[in-house]
Amino acid sequence: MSMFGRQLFRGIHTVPKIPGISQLLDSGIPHVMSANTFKTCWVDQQQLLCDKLTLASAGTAAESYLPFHLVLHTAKKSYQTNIFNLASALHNNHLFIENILPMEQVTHPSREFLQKLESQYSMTWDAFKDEMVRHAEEDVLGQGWLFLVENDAKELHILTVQNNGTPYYFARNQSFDLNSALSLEEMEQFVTMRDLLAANADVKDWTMPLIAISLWDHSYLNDYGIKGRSTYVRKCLDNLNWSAVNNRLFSTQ
Amino acid sequence: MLRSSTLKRTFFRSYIVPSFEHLNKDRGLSGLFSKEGLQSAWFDRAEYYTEKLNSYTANTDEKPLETIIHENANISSKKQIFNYASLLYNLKFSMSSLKGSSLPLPTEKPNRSELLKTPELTLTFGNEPLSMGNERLHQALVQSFGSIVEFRSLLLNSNNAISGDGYTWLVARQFKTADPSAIKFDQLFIVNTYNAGSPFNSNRAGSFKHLQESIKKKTEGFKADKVESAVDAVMYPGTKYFPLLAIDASPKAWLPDYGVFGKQQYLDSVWESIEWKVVENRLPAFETKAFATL
Repeated sequence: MSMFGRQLFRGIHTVPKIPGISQLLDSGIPHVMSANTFKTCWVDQQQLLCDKLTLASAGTAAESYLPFHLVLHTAKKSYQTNIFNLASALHNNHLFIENILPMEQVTHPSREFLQKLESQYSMTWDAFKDEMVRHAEEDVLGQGWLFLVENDAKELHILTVQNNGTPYYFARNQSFDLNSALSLEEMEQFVTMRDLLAANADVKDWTMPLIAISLWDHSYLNDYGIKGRSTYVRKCLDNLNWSAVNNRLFSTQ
Repeated sequence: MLRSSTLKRTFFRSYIVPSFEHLNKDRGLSGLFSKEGLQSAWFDRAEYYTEKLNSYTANTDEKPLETIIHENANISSKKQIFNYASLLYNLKFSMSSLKGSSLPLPTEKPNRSELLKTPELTLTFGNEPLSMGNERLHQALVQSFGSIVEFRSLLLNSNNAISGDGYTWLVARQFKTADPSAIKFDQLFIVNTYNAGSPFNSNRAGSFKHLQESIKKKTEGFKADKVESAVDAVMYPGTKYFPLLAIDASPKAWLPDYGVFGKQQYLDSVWESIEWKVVENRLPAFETKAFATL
């Protein structure tokens, strides 16, 4: 094994360390969530997911992968949905907390981001936030995620995801809620996707998430109540950590 | 009289937030929900879903929920009407058979050690249908699932496996008899629904897919993977299922009282809180399954 020049490690997943944790546990994320909710949404939930993923993967071939690799590795394997769900939830929640961590100085969207948004949608960032809130409200009835993603053509798109879908692979986006009627438009997307996969099972998806917002109950219920999810989404978008988001945007430099 | 007529005018042709006598805003539900927990699990949601339903029907509807669920299940332009009617129906159904229990609520929310706990290997639990005097229900459960322990495990584990929102249902399959007015069932099943999914299979969404499949079946002929499913397909075309019991899987129900690590404990408390009499009363007459010897 050592001929690969890599040390094998046991796959015990641990909650990533984030800067300023004691302050966050003390006072929460200003304007976004209380200290209690921060604990539920990050410390507890991430711990639960880590422990469950460890239990599900330890002693198997999946043991020594990082959650991100597990997401990519299991996305096409329906018989490993259990591991996919946990790994994807873990990864999404990390993306989320990273992009709402408070900074000492106020951060702003980069010029590159704003230009891209305006040239593609002829919309200011402020107006675009309303669009994002509306999508989350209309598309995700239960638990899920709201993303702003950049695809392989470097275009920005709003992506809503049911439960623990991932933005990295289109067949596992889980954008459609199949529990109620699909529109013809959605059905067409669905069929296109299926045909694409049938023609080439190895088709690649290079989509990258820029902004991730958790729509799970544990991140808003306590602070905003059942009717307050959209208010919460707006608060998140108004208080993003742009230093994290700007870094995720494709740059030629 | 005066009061009710004013009310009727104010809420003309719109849905009114449902209420149950056994659910009280000031009390919680003993052994299952604290005051705050019940507020989130029931009152806030009942109010929110009703508001949403009224806004999507533009206050022009007051048909029974089952009717709108049935009518709108396959119409994508009425998706939100279906969604909120179905959510409200499911929520009401799940709350209707919870009576609470005499067990204490957890004083401390479970922590991560809950995941590593050795499962209890007991074969008897509290609040079992038979010990509560529901002989007929007990017989039907044992006939369909083998034993009450197996039934309990399947019921609670199915719910635990829902990671987002949804309900776990106990349903009875209708047995078609020559007399159309007689409603009989031949077997009980456990089924999960997700988000606003409905337990009524007759109007299940995904009409497009069904259409595609029926075209395929027509051209290729019906292939069943098992003798049993072949018999079922012939015996039970357009079979109906009657919901008897629903258990809520949403964090909205368990997060406030049981915390992130507490879903299993919530489910154990739900079992203790089920009013089996209500479930038994929904059970239609029993008929031995056709071809039961296969």
